Amino acid sequence: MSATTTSNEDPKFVIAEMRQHILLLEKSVNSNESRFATRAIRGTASIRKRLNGKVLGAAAAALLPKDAVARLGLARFTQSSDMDVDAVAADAKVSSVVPEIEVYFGFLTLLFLHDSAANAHGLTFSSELVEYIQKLNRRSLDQLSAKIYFYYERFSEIANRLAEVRPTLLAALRTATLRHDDETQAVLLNLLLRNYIHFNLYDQADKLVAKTTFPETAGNSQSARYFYYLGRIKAIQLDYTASHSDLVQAIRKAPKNPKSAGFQQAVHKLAIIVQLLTGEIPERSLFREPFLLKALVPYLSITQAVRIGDLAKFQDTLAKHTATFRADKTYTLILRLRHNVIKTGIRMISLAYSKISLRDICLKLQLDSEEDAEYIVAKAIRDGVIDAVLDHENGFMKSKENVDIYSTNEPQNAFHQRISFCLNLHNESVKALRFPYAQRKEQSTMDALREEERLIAGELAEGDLADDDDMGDF
Amino acid sequence: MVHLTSAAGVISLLDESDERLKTFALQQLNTLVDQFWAEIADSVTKIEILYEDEGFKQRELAALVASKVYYHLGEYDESLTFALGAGKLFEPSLKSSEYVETIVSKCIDKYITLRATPETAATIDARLEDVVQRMFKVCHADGEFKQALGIALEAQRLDMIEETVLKGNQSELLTYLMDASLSLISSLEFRNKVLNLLVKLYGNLAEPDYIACAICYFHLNDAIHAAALLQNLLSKDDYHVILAYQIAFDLEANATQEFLLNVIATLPPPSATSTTIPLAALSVTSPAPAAGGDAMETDEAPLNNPASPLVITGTTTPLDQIHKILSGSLSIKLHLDFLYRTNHTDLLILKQTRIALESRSAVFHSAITVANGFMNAGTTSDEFLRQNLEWLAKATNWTKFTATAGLGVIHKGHISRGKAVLGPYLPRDGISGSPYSEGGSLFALGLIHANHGHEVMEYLTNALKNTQNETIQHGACLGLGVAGMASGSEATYEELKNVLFTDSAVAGEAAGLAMGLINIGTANPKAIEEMLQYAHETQHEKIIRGLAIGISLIMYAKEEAADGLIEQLCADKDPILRYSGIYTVAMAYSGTSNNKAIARLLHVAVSDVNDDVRRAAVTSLGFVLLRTPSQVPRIVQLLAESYNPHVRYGACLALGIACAGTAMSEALELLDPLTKDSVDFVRQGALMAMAMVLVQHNEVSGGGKVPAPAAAAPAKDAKTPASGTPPKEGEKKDEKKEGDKDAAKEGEKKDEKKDEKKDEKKEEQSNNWVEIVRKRFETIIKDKYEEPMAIFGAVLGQGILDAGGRNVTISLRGPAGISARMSAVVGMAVFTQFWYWYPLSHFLSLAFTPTGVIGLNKDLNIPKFELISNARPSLFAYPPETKLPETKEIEKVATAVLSTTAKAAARKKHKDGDAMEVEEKKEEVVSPTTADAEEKKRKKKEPAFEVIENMTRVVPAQLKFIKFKEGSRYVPVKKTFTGGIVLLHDKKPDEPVELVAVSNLDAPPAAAAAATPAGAAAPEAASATSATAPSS
Repeated sequence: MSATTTSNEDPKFVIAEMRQHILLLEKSVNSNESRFATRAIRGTASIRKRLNGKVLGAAAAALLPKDAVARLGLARFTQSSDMDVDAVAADAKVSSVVPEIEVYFGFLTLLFLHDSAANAHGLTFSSELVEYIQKLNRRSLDQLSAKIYFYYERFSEIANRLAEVRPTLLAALRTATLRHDDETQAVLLNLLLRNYIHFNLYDQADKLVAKTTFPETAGNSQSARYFYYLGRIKAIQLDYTASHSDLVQAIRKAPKNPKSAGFQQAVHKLAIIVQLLTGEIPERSLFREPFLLKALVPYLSITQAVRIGDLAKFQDTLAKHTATFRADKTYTLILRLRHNVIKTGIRMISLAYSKISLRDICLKLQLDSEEDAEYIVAKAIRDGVIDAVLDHENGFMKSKENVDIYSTNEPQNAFHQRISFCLNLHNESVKALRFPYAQRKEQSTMDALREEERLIAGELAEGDLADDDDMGDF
Repeated sequence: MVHLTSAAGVISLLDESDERLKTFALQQLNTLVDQFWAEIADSVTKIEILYEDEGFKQRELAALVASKVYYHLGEYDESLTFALGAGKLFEPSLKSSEYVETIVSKCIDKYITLRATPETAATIDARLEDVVQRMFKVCHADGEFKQALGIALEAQRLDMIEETVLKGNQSELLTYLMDASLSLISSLEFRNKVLNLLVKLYGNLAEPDYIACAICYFHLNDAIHAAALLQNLLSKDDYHVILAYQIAFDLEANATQEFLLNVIATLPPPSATSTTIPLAALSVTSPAPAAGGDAMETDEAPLNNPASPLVITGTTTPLDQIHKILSGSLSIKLHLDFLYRTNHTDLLILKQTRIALESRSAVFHSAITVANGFMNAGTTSDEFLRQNLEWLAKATNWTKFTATAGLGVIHKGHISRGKAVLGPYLPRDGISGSPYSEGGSLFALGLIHANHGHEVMEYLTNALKNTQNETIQHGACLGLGVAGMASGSEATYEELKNVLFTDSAVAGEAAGLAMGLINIGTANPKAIEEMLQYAHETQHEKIIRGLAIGISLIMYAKEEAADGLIEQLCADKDPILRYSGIYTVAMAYSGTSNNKAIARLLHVAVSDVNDDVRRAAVTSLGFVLLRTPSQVPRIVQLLAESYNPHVRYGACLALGIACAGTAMSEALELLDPLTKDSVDFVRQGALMAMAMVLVQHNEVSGGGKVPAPAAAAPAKDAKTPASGTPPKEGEKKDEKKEGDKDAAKEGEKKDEKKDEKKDEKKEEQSNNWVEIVRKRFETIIKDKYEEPMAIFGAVLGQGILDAGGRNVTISLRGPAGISARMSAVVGMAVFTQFWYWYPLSHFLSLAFTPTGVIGLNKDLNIPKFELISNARPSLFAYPPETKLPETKEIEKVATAVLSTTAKAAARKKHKDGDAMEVEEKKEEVVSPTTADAEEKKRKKKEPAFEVIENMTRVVPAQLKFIKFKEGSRYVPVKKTFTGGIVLLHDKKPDEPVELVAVSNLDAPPAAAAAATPAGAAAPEAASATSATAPSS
């Protein structure tokens, strides 16, 4: 993300590209079609790398009227970070622009400030922008304002002033809901959840989730985040199954490219723990994924410990990686796993031995006393983890014969789970389809459209969801 | 500051028994609710209980908190209930929080829904009413009068409407109210109440707005008060007399014959000469000859001398004049004079078409006669027929009927000589001519007297009585129907019914239709019942069809009053009656854009089992939406791609009807592919619709066809068709190209080159819709393998495009305050029946409106005066006549010249040279060789404005550029200029009046033709204009 210093490219090219985006934005405003705005915003990924004070100054001079909010703000910050704005060509005569373009510029400036770590400036400027957009009520602005709120929250987080922005965000959420501004609504909900979770206010977060509905039309990246937060809240509240299915959704919705690696790692870490908590063992292949390999090493050892029920290894790993887990905010959840390790251990023993003394169990599981072992085994029997009887008098546990799992409903349930998963996937794919362009368009128009599609595809491949890793730690 | 992280502590205080603690908790919650609503929501029931506890002192506070919580939860109804419970704590004002805003808007919504029906209106919560009342106060205080007015209108609060208007800027608010009441109020009953109120308010103004009052009376169908208004004005000074004239002209142009006859009957009888005819007999006989009587005859003597100005004898009193205006004879005469004077028919086009279709079937013969009728409608120029007598003689049977009836279209409004022109064809005692030409001539007579029939009703009735031949009966019935349109004459109706009951298919069809025409807009229950019953009894499909359209016409503009009948007809087994039901929707709701009607039509359009019904449903969309043409392309877009050709055809017509004369590029883009449809009749419909959309547009104003790459961009252009001129287009394209280059900069260069090549090609092919359409007509007509249906459409399209000597437009929209022009809508509706019966295509002539400016002084003479049109002359000029060089491809040469003109005009806009008047029309006179030189001159300077004389063409798109000269002698009495007949107030009455020479129309036709061959008047007018121009 250190793009500011390297580019010595002529600002003209960047400005030309910006102009392209501005055209798209104008088109979006005029034709009332949001997809053009989406394209413009998506295109910022490539501009972002080449942004610097000089470029921004030149662009603002060329494309914005003198008294534009974005331009005034920009001038302040770029000068203070001593860029020579004077080197720029004379002002083009732009009399007035639509607010969308001003906000677009503001957005670019925020990106620049974020990337050059000018956080204090970023915070002031972003709050100014938030004020500016709150005064406007324009549907064509929705996507941009969502971005602005995002960076507003981000800058506050860096400045460690998250608690202060909460009322602003709540008010903005209300406004967005009233105006049916789905994009902003989705972003704000996520930001609020993040805000609550940051302060461990899981109860508040849960209530917010219960009382609001996440807009269905929100983009994939936002729903992925939303599911992630949901999963986290539910995991804390002991609802592991629901949590797991949410996390799977989040993984599925998240884009699979290196740019969103941070998010994917975070989700996977949580998902692994939750899966372990439900008593299942994650696939080994997951830990071999190239972009997860490194990040998941501690989790691999935990998984291995749980799998074989090796309490010693579990404790070792926990001790070794405490810092990592705390940073990942999975520590409390992992602590809960200890119980699972023991249960797994007992299951392994019950499978391996048809009859075993409590003392041996105690030794194998490194428990403190025979009484402890007896309690734990009794609990395991009651929970249905193992099928055995305890002989208190003689101090041993006797396993019952294994039942044929295929005679139970178990396989049916497993199949049902998979089938419903597939059906859901299918349904959602159908929903995501778009109608083809009308046939009546002439050949040349069709060609133009195809060309446009090709461009979009290219942009998609290049930099979808570029801001996902802006969130730092998840 | 410490940030609270939970409201749980405060909430728990609610469980305390001490009232003070509870109160404290509520106060805290009231401030915290915006942050912790999610948490409070769980215990909202506790707060509700507090609210319901009668003994609790802070009930209102509890209600407010509960209301806010529900608001955050998105349960607005609950929130509203509690907000009302909060009493004074809930303070509605416009500029406070979003919460208040939302609740207030919900409040108003609820109030409006409750007020909509009388049963619920009685049960309205007083508190709700109170909030709304407070809102009104806030609006008044803030000066948001329009807002208050809107709410009051929707909530049907007449008292508030009145109060609001009186408090605000009256004239502005009244105009707003007028517009709103006519376009937004769907309930006819309430609208009438509002109109009554409007009349009262207009009357109480310091300067009463009589014109607006008259419009209200017209909508209220209150002839008695309208007459009283006129009388009142006549008793005042000169200025008010002129105003009365203007109102009379407006009424005459828009109201039904029945209304006008009632006004005339209420007015005192005209002086002196009128004693012979009793007023009671007005519905059949006419007051006009009586009113004009002697005066008219004295007129005619000087008229025979072509140079002399029109003088009406000074002895006529203003009252006589009003009678004359209301009878319609004057305006018809003026329009006829205008059309005759400025006739720009291009006979060469017709000639080419005739030659191309010479030896083929009778269909083409009909098509050409109809097209000829359209082109020359109202101009009295039968030049084409004279030149092609031999060809004309080939007409047989119904073709002959159509051809003879075409004369009626050509001479439309030529009342004084109508019978004389048709003399040779009319049935005469003792001589038996061809029944077809006799029937046709009777129809023609009706068309000449369309909507103004009292002079010929008796003659036509007799003609109907005296014959047993069904062809003649057919013609007579149609003639009666057209002439007696909306007169509601009982006698005529009975006469037609007798013909209907003979159960002859041919005569019965016309009789059924005519019965409807006579009763347009009367909703006469007896007529409907009889017609419907007969439609069920008869075996003849033709008769049912005639009756079907007739029934729908009776319900014209009746809106919800027609719902019962519509329901009944739409549920009928017989598809023809369902067809009738659909047309009833179209007629009853024409121009209202009523959502319910649109929903019904759309539903039928895709669900009915019968193709005819579906076609009718889609077509009818055009009628219902005719005031909002910009919506139509969007609505019919998908229908235009239907698999069903009938639906596609309907979409074409809907576009043509609603977007007529707008040159709207969206409509044209939809129609364009349909002209190449695989089904012949869809091509027919699309060709005609294109002509309708482009009527009266020339190569400059018609707007360019946008090349494909830029297709998505210039949506703006469509909104202002007049400004969608080539120069702008060109600029846009350039921008686009630049943009493309930028985009492709990183991409392959090959693509870029390809794109540019494509662009160039496009530009070569097509630059302009009018040009494209004209060319397409031509190629289709010349194509030997083209289907007859499509050729028919192309020929009719040619006629429509140049209708009425290029001086009329198809306009179904009425002027301000009037939703639709009755005769135009009816004419268009019957025209669409040409699908079954070609002679009915003549009905389109009813939809033609002359687009001239006709200024009259207080003596109702035509003085010389000038207007300024702030637009480049070429924008609204007549298209140049097609020239006939040696090469065979005449049109092509002509178009080549045109495109350069267009481009030249394009280049000129940048330069914006100093204004020098070079009259556009001059070009028509100069020979092709000098044209180039002329053009070079013009390239440098085309003026930014032109001066328009009295009695010249002003097309609708041009109206907004028209200005009256500052400090000129004549000032119009109407504030907004809408073209047509304008009464002028003379500021210098002492100076001698200079009058425009009137054309000699009443002389025998041969003499007239010799004196001024068609088109000769134009260059004269042109030179006159250019002579006066430089001084300005």
